[in-house]
Amino acid sequence: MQPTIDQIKDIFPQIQRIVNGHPLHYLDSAATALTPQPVIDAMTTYYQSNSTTYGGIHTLSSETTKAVDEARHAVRTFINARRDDEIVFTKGATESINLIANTFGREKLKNGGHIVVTQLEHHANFVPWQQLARETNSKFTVAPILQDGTLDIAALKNILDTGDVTILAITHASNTTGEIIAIKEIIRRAHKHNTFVIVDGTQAVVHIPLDVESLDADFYVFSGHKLYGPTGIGVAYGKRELWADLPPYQTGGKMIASVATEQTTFAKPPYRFEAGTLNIAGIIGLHSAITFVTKLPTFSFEHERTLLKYAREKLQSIQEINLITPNADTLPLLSFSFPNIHPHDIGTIASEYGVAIRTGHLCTEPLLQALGTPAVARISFGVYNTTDDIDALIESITHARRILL
Amino acid sequence: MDSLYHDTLLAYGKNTIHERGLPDATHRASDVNTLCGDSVTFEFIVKNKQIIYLGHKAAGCVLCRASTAWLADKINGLAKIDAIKFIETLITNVGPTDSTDHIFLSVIQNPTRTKCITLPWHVAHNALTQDSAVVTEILRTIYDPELPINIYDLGLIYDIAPTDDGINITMTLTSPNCPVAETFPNQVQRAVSERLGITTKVIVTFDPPWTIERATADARILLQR
Repeated sequence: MQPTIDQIKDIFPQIQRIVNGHPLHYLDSAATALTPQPVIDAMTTYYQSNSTTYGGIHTLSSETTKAVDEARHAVRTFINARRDDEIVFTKGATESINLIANTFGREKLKNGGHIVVTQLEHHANFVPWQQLARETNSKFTVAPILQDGTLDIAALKNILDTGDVTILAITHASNTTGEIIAIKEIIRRAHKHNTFVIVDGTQAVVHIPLDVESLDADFYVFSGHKLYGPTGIGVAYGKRELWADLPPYQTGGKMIASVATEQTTFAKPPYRFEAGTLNIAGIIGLHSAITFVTKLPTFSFEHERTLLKYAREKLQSIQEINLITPNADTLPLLSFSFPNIHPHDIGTIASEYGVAIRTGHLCTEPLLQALGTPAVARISFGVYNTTDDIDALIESITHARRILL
Repeated sequence: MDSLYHDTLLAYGKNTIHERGLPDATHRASDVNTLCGDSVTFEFIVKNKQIIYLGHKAAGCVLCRASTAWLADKINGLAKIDAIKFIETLITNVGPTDSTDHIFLSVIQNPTRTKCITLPWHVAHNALTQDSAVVTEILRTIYDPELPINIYDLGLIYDIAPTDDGINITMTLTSPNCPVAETFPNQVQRAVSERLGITTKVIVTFDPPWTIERATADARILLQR
């Protein structure tokens, strides 16, 4: 029997909290999704009954080794990669992108080249490439957005069609506008011109069924904590043939084949890129989160869309509101602003009502500059949200407008 | 829980009594918190060491606007030195030491919003302590009698030092035989003292002597043409 929304809510212990005298209304899942009990339990169990590291020969360590290998396999299955060794564990999407930029990127741009990102990118998929372009004397192009804040696909295609782009780093879905990009089509276009594509799937991975093989992405990255997993764990997927010849990013323990005083031979991928002791509890938590998400009933996701529609209708009725998220098939999030109220004031007052929302530049300053505003407010939904959360938000905004205007 | 947005704070947020631009300001500073877009400008007219007029412009969140208006209220009419001391106490204690007058107590419980209220304090402090910045602006409007370059960019100004009752400007001339050596320093003295209304002393020195290397790069290009 499928669980109800209330039963799903009960899986998240944080939802029980009283915040500033109100029940918690958590509308910030696009920043971090709350952690369900099974994920917490999996990590607790690891620490209580094991807490050893990978690769030892005693029983506890071989259990850990098995758990990490199984988690890697689970990630592979979840994103439909061809092989387990295409999955590298990192501490999050940011580290994944830095890893790829500093190994693959640096290798491809040895003699200069051309990196393209989009105006929509999160700083994590913007700054590493901007830096790399500077360091390798490469051209750096930001593919523009249209007036409505959506990606100018035609302009991006034109840039790709120049045929001189080495690397395209692009988000699968915007954390600020919620726009979902038709990346399959873009990847195909890029590959026609031998451009490599790195996809930031941090926002998409929890909302869009993922098939990296069918997408044909060269690299695909995401974080655990937006997927109902723990913080401090992330994934860098890359095609095996691309990982194969890359130099290590960090060096040290676990990433070697053999070390002699004269020379060190590095391990094969993925281990070559996983120097040091892994975040074992994080990996186990991520595995559990993937199991949790995979088992969620499909209505959970439909439910998020329903909430999005409900929230849009409610917000639209507020005077002067500027909805930044396009009215299209977006992620379940809504960004908005008001002409005479700063988003931080909305955020603090909402918090006094127990409503958790995100405010500020959302780590997308280039995008907000293009949109002509320094800050926005954003609400985003998870499987535990209900219309009550949106009603509480509306009540807090109404109050904010009453006292601030 | 008491709201962070209590009535006094909200009232200051809507208080525009001192909201104005002062083109004749003797002291001026602005700053922007690029993370949230809060922006503050403070302008003062200081005469005889006293703030006789002030104006501010603040854009952004209510906390920032309230803190700006509140500070303007507190320091309007004070002796400059007392205003500076008051602001330094505010910055050190993140608010007034007298808790009955501390309209920001609820804000400082919330570290993510503290910067909203401290930004205007730093701006006002910068404005009142950086006489030299305003002096620089004035000096840039004074041109060497023989060259198309202002005396600041030409490198004639060696030092701008605030004193207890005004400002000391140490400058040189392009050569001791300069035809206007007698009158030019007086012209500089008058320009600054009339504009700022403060005691201005100009000290002329030829040690070290001026050379073209003292001019800004742009000025050197102009000179070499």
